[in-house]
Amino acid sequence: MSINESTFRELEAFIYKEAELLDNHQYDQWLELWDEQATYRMPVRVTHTKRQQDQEFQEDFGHFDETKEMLGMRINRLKTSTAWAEDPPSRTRHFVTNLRINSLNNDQYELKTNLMLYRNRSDAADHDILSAERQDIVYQKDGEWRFVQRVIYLDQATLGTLNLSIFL
Amino acid sequence: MKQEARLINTETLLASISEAINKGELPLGVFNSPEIFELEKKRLFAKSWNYLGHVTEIPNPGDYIQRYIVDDSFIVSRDKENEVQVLLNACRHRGRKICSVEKGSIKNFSCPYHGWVYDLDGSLLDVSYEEKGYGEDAIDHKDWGLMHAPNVGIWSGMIFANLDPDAEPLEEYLGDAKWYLDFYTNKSEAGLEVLGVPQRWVVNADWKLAADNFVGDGYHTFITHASTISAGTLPVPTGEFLLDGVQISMDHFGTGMARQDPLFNSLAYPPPMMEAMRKRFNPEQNAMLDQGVSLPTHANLFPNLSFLNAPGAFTAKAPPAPYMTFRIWRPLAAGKTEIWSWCMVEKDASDEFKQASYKAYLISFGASGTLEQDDAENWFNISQVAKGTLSSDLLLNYTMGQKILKPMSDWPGPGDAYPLDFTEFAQRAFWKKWLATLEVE
Repeated sequence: MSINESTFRELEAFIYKEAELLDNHQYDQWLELWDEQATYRMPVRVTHTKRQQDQEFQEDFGHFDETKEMLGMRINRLKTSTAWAEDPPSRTRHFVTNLRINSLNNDQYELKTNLMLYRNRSDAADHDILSAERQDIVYQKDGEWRFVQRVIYLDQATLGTLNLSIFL
Repeated sequence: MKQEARLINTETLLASISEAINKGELPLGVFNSPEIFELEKKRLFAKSWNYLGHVTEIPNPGDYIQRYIVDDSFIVSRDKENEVQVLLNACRHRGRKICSVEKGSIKNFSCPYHGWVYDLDGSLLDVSYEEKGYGEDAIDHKDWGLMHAPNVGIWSGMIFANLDPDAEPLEEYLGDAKWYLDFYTNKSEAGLEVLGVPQRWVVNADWKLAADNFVGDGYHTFITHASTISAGTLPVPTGEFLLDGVQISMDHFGTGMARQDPLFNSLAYPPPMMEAMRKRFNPEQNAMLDQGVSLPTHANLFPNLSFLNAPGAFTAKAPPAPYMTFRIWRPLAAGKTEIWSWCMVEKDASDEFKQASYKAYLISFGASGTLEQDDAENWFNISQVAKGTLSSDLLLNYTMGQKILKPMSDWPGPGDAYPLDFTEFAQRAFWKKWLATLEVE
C-alpha cells in the first residue's frame, strides 16, 4: 500500500534519529523507542546451495533473539564500569539507506533499510564492516513512533568482528 | 642449509619454553608466533582428536555438513546406510572442493570442475567421459573415491576425526575424561541435540588463550565478568562463585566446579531434571555431587574443544535457565581463530525448557553473549601484546596454587582434584601436554 510523503519523511527522520542514538551511545533513549512487546532478532545465516536458499536464515536460532527486557539487561551491563568489550567504546557509524516503506493494515508500517555499520576501536587504524538488511515494523503510540519488531539479515555467515557488543 | 637453521631454531624455541613451563612460567610470545603456528599445524592438530560436530546435525541419510581441521575441509555426511562418514572435501581429479556450502542434504556429490560424482560414503560413482577419455576399466573406481579422514571416532553423539592413521582410538584418548564429560552429555536418556546451528565468527586472538581459559581459569570471573554479574545475567551471589570450587587436572583434560548453594550447584536445572540425571550417573559421580559441588561448569578437552554448562537469567518473569555450549577454537593463523559455538540441549526436554535454555545461552555466549564479549576482548588484547619484540619474551606467572595446594585424597573421581577453582593446575597441565605434543616430530 502506498504511503503519503509526510509519513515517509517522518519515518525516515525516525530511523535516522535511531542511528544517531546508537552512534552516540545513548542507549537509554534508544531503548525508549521500543515497544514493551518488541522483538529484536538477527538470525544466524548458513551457506546453502542455490537450491536450498530458503533455508539460509535460521529463523529460530539467532545471534540476537531479544525481548525488550533482554535489550535492557545488555544496556544495564554497558552502563557498568566493567563492560570491558565496550571500554573504550566502539566507534560506530550506522549508514542507513534504501528505505522502503509498506503500510500494513493495522496502523503499522514495515520499514526495510540497508545498513552499513562501520566499527573501529581503540587506537587501531583498521575497522570492521557489518552489512545487513533490516526489516522493522513500527507503529505510533501517543504521537511517537515505536518499533515492535526488527529482524537483521546480515550479509555474512561467518562474522568478521570480535563480538556483537554493539546493536545493529 | 636454511631449513636446518630453522629446525635448530624450533628446537631451541621449544627448549626455552620447556624450561619456563617447568618453573611455572610461560613466554607471552606463544600466543602470536607464526613459527609455533606452523608447528601446531603439523605436530599437534594433525595428530589430535579434533571435534567436528554432533550426530544430530545430520539426522537423516543424505544430510551433510562441512567442517574443518585447521585448513583441511571435510564433508561429514550420513550415507544411505545411516553411517556417519568423514570425507576430505577435495575431488580426486583436480582437488576442487565438491562441497562449497555449510550444510544441506543431497543424493550424491558432483564436482563442478569436470563432473566426477561421488556417493555419500565417498565412493566414486561416475567419471565424466570415462570410456572415451580414459578407456574402459582404465580407472579403478575403488582406488579413486574421496579420501576418508584417517581416523574417525564417535562418542556420545560427538563426531571426532584424527589425521593420524596411527592415532590411539578416540575412546582410549578420552579415557578418564569421560567420567566428567558424562555430566555434560549423559543427563538424559535421549542425549543431547544441537539447537539451530553453530555460530561462527573470526577473532584476532590465539586459540590457546581460549583453551587455557576454559580448561582452568576460574580466577578471571570476578573481574572479567563483573558487569554480567551485576546486570543479573549471570545469577551468582558474587564473582567469587568459583573460588571455593574444585579444579580437576588431567594430562589432556581439565574442568572446574563451583561450591555454592544447592540452587547454583544444579546450574538451575529444575528438580525433576536433576533427579532424573542423578539416576543416570554412577555411584561415584553421585558421590561427587553429594560433596556439595556443582555440576562441572567449564572444561577443555585437549587441544581445542571446550565446554560450558551454567545458569543464565534473561527475564525477571522466570527463574534462570541452564544452558550448555560446546565450542571449538579453530586456528586460522598465529593469533587468529575462528570460534564455532554450539548451543546444546537435552533432546527430550520440553520445548519451554529448550527455549529458555536457548535464551540463557544467547545472552551469555555466542558472538553477542556478554560473557563471551568480555572473554574475547581479553584474548584479542593479549594476542596483540604477544607480537612485540620485547613482550614476546616476557615470562608470565603460571604458579597459582603450586605452593599451597595438594590434590584432595577423598575425591571420588579421576584426575587430580584441587579444593579451589581459583588455581592454575589444569592450565599448567594443558601447557605440559601442548609442549610434549609439539616436541614429537
